[in-house]
Amino acid sequence: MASERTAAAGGLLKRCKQALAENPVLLGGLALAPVVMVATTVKNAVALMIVMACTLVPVMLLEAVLAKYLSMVPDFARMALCAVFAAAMLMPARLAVAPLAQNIFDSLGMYFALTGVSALMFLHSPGREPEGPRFAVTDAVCGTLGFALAVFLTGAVREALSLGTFWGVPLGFSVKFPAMAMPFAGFFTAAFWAAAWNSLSRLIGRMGGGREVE
Amino acid sequence: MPGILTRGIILEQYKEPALNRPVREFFSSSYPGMLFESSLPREAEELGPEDIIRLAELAGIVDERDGEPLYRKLRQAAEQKVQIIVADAIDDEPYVSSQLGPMLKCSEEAAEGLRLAVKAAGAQKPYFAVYKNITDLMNKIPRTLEGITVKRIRGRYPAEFRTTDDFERGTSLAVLGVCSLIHLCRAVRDHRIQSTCFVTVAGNCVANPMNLEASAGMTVAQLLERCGLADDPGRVIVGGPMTGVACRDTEATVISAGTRAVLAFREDTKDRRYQCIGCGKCVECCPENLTPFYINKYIEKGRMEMLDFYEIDRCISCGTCSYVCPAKLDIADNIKAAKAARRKNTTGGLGDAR
Amino acid sequence: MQDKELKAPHIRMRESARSAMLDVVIALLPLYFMAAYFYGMRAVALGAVSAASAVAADMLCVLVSGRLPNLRDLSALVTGLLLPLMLPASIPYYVVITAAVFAIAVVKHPFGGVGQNIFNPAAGGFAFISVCWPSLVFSYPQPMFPLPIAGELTARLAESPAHALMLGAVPTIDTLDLVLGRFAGPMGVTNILVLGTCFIYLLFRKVISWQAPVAFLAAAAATAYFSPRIPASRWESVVFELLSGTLVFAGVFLLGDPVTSPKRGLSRFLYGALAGGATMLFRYCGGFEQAAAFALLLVNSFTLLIDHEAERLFRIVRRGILGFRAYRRSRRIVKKV
Repeated sequence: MASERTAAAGGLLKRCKQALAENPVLLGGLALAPVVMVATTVKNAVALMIVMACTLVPVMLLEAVLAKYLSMVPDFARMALCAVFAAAMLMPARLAVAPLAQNIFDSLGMYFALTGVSALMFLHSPGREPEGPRFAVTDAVCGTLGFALAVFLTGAVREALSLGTFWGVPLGFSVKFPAMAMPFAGFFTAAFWAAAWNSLSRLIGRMGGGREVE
Repeated sequence: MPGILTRGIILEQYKEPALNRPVREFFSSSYPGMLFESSLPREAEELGPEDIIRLAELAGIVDERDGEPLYRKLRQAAEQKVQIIVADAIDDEPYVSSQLGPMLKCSEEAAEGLRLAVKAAGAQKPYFAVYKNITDLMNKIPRTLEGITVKRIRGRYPAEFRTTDDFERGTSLAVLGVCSLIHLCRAVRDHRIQSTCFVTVAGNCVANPMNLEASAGMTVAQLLERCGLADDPGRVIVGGPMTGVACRDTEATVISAGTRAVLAFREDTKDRRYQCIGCGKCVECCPENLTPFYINKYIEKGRMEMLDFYEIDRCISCGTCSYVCPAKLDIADNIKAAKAARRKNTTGGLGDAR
Repeated sequence: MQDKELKAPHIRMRESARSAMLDVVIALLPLYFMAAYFYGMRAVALGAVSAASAVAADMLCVLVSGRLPNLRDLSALVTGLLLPLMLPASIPYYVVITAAVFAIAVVKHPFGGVGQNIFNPAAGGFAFISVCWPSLVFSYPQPMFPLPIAGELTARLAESPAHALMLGAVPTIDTLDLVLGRFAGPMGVTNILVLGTCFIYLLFRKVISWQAPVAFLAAAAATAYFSPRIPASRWESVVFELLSGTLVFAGVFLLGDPVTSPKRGLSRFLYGALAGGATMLFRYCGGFEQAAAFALLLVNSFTLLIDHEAERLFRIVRRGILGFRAYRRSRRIVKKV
């Protein structure tokens, strides 16, 4: 009994570590569009985080709970159903994001809705079993955390370099690079963070490698 | 006019003073006894074509261009009814004059050998072929040698594989090395087995550069000693400087019938290697119109499947790409290694192509 | 004897990678001299700062990727020296440093490094800073008024003739002045005569190829001739378009760069013509007055494609025309080891 429980807990921990080390956005390349295009300030980043959380967790829970019924639905309809459900989840997301700033939806543009639907991509993130409802909640939380990290890092760097502020608070830089708010800068900022995350995860993998093999 | 627009490089030839000196002999003690038994007459007029081929076979003459037995080439030439026999005295690599020197100094034997080859193959016209772009000659190469026209092959290095371009279209011809023809003449006259080869010993480390006729089986060290070494050489090469092989142990390396030269150089100063800078000079000068830049890149990355697309089998290993590379990469060597690896992987293919 | 492998060929040309880069640096020195003549020692100071930051960024990047820096590799120095020549002499130092660091750390090394980079680093650096600070990059001081090396600049800044062309007006500068560079413009770009001399020098030293710059200028001139955007005669339009902005400079130094251009002569023609057409297109329809750097970045992305398709074409050529010759040669008994 106890050994089974610790084994299950060990599997959970391993899965979490796996999902966090292999960031689905930076290393897996999922849902890059919102990161590159609109993660230009920290406020935008937080808004995107909220949207992703509001849509990803329910969608994964849906897939987990209704797995039996969903498998009876034909393929094309299943995805369409999930997409409609994710879009429906955008309504509470909108309520959660609105108090952040006055014109937050202007700066997000269409990527607000796009991020919501991008949650579907995480259903097929690398390392996830095709129809595994066991770890739905952990997968959803890890996915959200991964996306949140990516979008926050990119947004923070771009805001610091282009506007010299952090959440609107000036940081005291004398030189600003306005071009960092543009999409091409988003691409290479994300790329640099991906490289940094890659080396970090390899370092962590080497450090924690011995214990994993048990 | 052929040769004006050829691709390749212009090389300083450095053939003097070796070319101007007489061809010296460096025989082993068993040389006088190297004769074969035959009842065939020793006069050229009394021999038929098949007799000459038989004598070439008995003497074991090897063509120094490619190591093939001469009798086989003569027989092939006779079967294909070639019209012209060309005696190859093209030495397009620098320092090497082991065909040109004997042709000029032993011209009577060379001409006789050429006429014998013409008779053996049933051809009509003989020619000598020399390389035109040799700038530092002390004596001019004559236009006719013993009554045979000397044809000049124009163009940049590598020129030897372009020999046939200077002849009329539609004529079929066979190219034989001039040293093998000298040996053929001796085989007919004295019934002598080919046991020697003509080797140029040169380089900036050699005190007396010259052309030697040395017995096969002599070591490289003996040859260098014969000509005298001015310094301790940093690099000893067997073969030409562009396509030759570096010799690691001069005491253990022997020369054979296909050896063209033994060169000794002082070490080059500061032979640095850089990374490829992408200049594209290798592409400009490749005589076969290939792109060594991309071939080298894919070989270094290990993507061998792309080499078929870049037609690596057309490479003639002239070494021009490595020569012009400003980053001093070993492109020619990489391509040679890749070709060998591919041939090993596809065993059972045709025999040697190029 | 020796332990290291000595591979054929055993003789090599005397030129090396270092001497090729050194030739480019030598060709840039007259431009710096002219810039110093027009604008004072600030031009040289900008060049020195840019070169230093480029070399430092390069060494840092090489160390990060785990290799030892090769002190004989001057490509970062060349990039550092190219950048200030496209900028006005009144530009603040931090702009130049940003451009150099961006060019090396973002455009050059992540895309391949020495000899393998896809995009021209100097063009990339220039593009970045002209998007960041267009007002700083596109307003030029008048020549023959020396500027202070450090501190506040109180010189009057003007627009270059390229700006006038963008607005559709004919620049009011005498053609001789236009050629000699005695007008407000980027530091090293205005003096066309010196640029021409540098071009000929580099050609003779075989550092750049002639096909790409000639095709570039021809395509730009043809576009300016057949569809001029200013109300002047066609030839005047050609003269003004070619002599204003960074066009000639980009054609000589940025376009002729062998690393980012295709490797065959014929492909270089196509590449140069595409770049010329793209430059004029950006000038006519784009938002910036100086478009050569942007057009160059665009065409750089086609280099690999052009090379691949050229190889495909040459495979057919080799089998067709040249194959004919090889086939004829092989029919005669010619063998080479």
